[in-house]
Amino acid sequence: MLLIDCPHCGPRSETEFSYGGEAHIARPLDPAALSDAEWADYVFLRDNPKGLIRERWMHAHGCRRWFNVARDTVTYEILTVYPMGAEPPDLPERRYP
Amino acid sequence: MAQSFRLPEGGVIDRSKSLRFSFDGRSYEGHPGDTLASALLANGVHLVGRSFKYHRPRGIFSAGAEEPNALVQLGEDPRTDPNQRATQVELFDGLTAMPQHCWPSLEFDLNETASLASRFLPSGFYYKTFMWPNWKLFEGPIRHAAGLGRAPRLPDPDRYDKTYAHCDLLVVGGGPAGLAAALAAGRRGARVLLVEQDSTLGGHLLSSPDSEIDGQPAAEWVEAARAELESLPEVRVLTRSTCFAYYDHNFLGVLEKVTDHYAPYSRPQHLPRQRMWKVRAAQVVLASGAIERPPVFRDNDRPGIMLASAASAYLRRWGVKPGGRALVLTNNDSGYRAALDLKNAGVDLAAVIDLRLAAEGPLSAQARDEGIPIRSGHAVTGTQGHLRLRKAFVAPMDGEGRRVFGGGEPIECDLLAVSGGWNPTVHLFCQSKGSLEWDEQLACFRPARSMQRNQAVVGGANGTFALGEALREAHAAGLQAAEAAGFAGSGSERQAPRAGGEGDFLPLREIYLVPSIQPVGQGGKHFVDQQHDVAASDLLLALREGYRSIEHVKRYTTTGMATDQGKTSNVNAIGIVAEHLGKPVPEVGVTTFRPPYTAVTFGAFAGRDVDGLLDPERTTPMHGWHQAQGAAFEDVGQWKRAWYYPRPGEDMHTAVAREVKATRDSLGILDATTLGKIEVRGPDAARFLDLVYTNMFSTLKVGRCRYGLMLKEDGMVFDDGVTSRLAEDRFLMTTTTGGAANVLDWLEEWLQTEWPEMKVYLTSVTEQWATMTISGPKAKALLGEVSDLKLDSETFPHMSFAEGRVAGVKARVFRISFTGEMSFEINVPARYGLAVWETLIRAGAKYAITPYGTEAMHVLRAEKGFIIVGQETDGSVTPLDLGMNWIVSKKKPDFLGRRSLFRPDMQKPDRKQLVGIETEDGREVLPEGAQLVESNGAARPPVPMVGHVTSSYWSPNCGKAIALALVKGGQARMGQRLYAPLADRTVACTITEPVFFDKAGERLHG
Amino acid sequence: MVEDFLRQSPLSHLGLATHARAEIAADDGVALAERPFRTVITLRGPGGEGAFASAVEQASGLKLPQEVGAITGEAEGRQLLCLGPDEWWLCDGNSDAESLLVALEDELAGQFASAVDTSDNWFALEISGPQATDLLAKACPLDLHPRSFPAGRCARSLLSKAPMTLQKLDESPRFRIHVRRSFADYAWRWLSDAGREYGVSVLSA
Repeated sequence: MLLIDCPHCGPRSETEFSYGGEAHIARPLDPAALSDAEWADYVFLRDNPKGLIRERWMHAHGCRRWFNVARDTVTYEILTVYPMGAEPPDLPERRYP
Repeated sequence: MAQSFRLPEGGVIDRSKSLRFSFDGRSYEGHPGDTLASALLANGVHLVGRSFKYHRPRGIFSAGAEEPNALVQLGEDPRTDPNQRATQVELFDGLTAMPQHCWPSLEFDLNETASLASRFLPSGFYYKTFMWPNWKLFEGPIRHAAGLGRAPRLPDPDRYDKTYAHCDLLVVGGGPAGLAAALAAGRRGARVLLVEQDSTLGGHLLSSPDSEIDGQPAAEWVEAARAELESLPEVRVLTRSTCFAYYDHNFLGVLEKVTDHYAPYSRPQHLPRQRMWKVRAAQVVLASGAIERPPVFRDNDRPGIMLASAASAYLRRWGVKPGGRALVLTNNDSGYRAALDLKNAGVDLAAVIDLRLAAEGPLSAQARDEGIPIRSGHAVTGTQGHLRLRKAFVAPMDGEGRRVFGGGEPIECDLLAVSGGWNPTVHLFCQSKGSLEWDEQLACFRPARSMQRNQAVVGGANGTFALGEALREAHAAGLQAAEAAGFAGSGSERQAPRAGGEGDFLPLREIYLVPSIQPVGQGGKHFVDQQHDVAASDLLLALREGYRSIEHVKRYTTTGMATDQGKTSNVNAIGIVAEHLGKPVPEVGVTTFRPPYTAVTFGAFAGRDVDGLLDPERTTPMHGWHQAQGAAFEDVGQWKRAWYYPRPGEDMHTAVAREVKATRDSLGILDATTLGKIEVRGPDAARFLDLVYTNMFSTLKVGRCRYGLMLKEDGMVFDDGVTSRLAEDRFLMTTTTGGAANVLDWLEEWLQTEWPEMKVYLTSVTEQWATMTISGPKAKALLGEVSDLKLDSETFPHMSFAEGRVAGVKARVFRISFTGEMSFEINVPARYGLAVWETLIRAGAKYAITPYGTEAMHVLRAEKGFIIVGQETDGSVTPLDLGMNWIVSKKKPDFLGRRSLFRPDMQKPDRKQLVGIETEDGREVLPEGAQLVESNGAARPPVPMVGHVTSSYWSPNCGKAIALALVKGGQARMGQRLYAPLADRTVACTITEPVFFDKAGERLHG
Repeated sequence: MVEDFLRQSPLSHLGLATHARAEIAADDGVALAERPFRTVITLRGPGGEGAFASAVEQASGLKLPQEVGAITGEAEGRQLLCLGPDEWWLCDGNSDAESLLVALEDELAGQFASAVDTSDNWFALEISGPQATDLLAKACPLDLHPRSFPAGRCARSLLSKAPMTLQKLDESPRFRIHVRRSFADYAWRWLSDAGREYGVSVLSA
């Protein structure tokens, strides 16, 4: 079970959090202008990388704030956490066979 | 012959007390400090079970967690546990144990004939043989013959506990290394948790009490360490506690057996039987020791054959002679430890059979000096003895160790102590995704790379076998863990404990499969996995059949897949496969280690979250009243909601029909407290609601209410409810009961992640308010009598709200309706809920006020064709499918889910659409979930399904059965006939509009 | 107030008063007490030392704590708990919510902020006694050691399967827990059951 370093509350057990999937997927500003394929890409399609992922978590049973986490999907190591709206930190990609 | 194999002295047992116990119906005696296994051996009992597949007699093979054979059924129903390792069961007075897996008796097992037919039962035999005509035909008898013990039939009467625990350092293992690490960190003030599966600390030192540490005998050093750890306020030592699982980020599971070692009559009633510790450790030191590896030779499974370290343990720790005449087989120097211990205890030692070409090493030298006969370059080629080992055959090997010369010389013996090297106990390390490397010299896998931060492996678990070195390594790891946790050293700290090289077992000769006089698989079995009866011939068969990956070989042969998880067999299997394929061992690789290390009873996982505490039962302020009225309750999420209120003699159907009718005829009252309520405040509140609802809320006037529908971005209906505008910048949103938390999370998500510039704050007030709905023609009259509100339709029209006093309490009242009748939803602070409810009941008596439950509510709304999210919808239904186009704003350029409604799939005319269904018979109520088809049963399958019933009730107000259904292209099928094929008949029905009662909606206005 | 005669604790069905004591029994390791009818106003507003902080201070007489988990005020009287970067609780054991709300609304007029009465949304109980921490550790994933969670701190977390707001009032130790009102019965039963091995005293409300 992960130990997630909530930016507001400090390290807390994964039990207290809920998962929000891949980060940095902005909602299109004018959905009506999108083709069906573009809209489907936004609604349905997400990356599933082996290695570095940037994802969203919410401290559901704590401060109830959303934030971003950069995590390695192989080691489950959490590389960093950063607030919503912040630019993703520049982290080296992790490659696995 | 009471305890005739007990030595006159020695061992960590309390000889002043005797404990009576029974095994297989016979009575024996042992002492406190004994395990069931040591007590059985003290009484000369070696035969303890039958094997899984061939029902071969099996004995006690080890002295610890690695035991593959000595599995017993402990206790009696309901307090019975199958598959308990006799080697780990602490003896208590009155213990009863039965052998498993034999019939009719342990000594005479009819299924042993399986053993005679064993050449017909190779790996994959079941897969290949019992396929035709089908497995079910064979399952019964095969399951009877196989299986491992019985699960209790009665409910578990014991209590279990679970707790979280946090520490700076978790030390797994209370042997010398674990103690050294815990002391080093504990002395610095770090919070240390030390867990040891055994009943007492010391680990393998318990079997070598005269080893020296810091110039003291080991037993004294252990006692001093225990006392010191106990004196440190931040250190906690848990014995009888197995760390069984190691998850990410240093989260570990520990099972503490709290009262299992007490006699049942003396178990402290206030204590749980077992406790599950969920440990989060800043640092972890694994000092889990090592497990001896047996060599694989022909007929290596007879009672009387055991690990050399186990023989030593029984002699030294328990003062038990594991046999009368012994033989030792080893490929390394540690086998000589057992030889020396046996000799010192006065056991007749026939010889040490050393697989090595020369017996080299400090212990070999000592044995030779003491006159123990040694035959190096020899092998045990087979054994004899049915219920107990009688003799072993010994023959010289060739230089390669591939074949033997001659027929084998028989040597009489009833104990064969075996050693094939040592495997570090890397289970936890591997569970935590650490990777191993093969150590050529030690011939074992040892930890190489950690996947977890802040983890160290020390001592035997790390392949550091020499005692002195292990202590140094553990001490350093303890200090480092303390340092990392913020506890710096003082400079005047004690040094690492000092000891010699005891525990070294080199040199070792790598031989996994000991040759015999016939090829492997002929004339006897070389067992690799004794618990699963997997022999070397099975592994070779798997290789012949083309399996190469060790994971595949494992699954095909089931080697290592028994309850012992291959603790004594996995590396042998890998070694044999490697040898046969001509590959180096590391290229074959290891199989995956998974929790648990040893079995954990389900009760411990459940803890106290059973029965009434299984899940929170959320109750409303009026719950006690409903109970007193004899209400039946329905689970809605975690809520207990009054379902219906049966009067004496009423069944559910009659009660619901009465409640439904009374509401339309006069007056009903419903506890609606569970509806979700969210205050939405801020200058952007209206703009925000416009984005999350399909319809417009910015145009809603203060004091008015509006029904709204929420979609997910995929366009599917997600939740619904009425939202009221309390002030220009304040709304009160209601949600479905089950959706309350999800909706709040959903709204917060958008505000925080996508629209942080919006000035909106959300506050959940679901439980601030007790909510009661009065509904029916007399609702207005009743409310008028108990409140100070003006109720004329001018001041208080439908879909509006007012604040005032109801039954003397400040209230928010909403005139909204889910029944189609004039209704008022009265909200008062929860603490007054019951008082106001009771006032309404009293005052409503003259109108025959009738409390109605959720079932009547469902009927009433279905009569009006109102949907329930989660009943008419299932995450694949759009507002258009529901015929609710009217609620989808055409003016708003955007709202969540809008764009998806324009995807071509959403526009298809054959989407499932909401319709009403009436059965032609009129009285027949269709089951919910019934499929609808176009043909009346004559058609041959497959028959296309055109829809399904989502809600179905008897409507007393319509005098007929009504149903709602989702039907392909339903809105264009009005009046069409469909059929509902049920189990025993087919029901004809007609598609109608989904509104059955008061289609004009006149009753809303009284 | 007439309303006081009408109000009910969510634990009224347990009849706790009949076996409640003034102090923990000598043999017992933990004590449980309900603390019904406490005022809880949920405040939402921007963090920092701005207009919101001064308005709250004006209305409540307490400084607005800025760090999540910090508390100002006094356990038995009025307190401000910082539960999130823009969320606080104003708790009071004596004053009723209405007068506090009026004061807050006055001070916050014209600001983007929210003050909502949630007194009845929550239910408070207290755990004390020498084994209070052990008892709570069974239900709560937080590290409750004084080094990690000293007296005067608060946190939202879980009490078994019920969301809770936890305060450590003192190092005796004594904890105050708020769960949603509908979880009151569950929380009380869970803790009573879990405390069995230590012995549980029920203290008067």
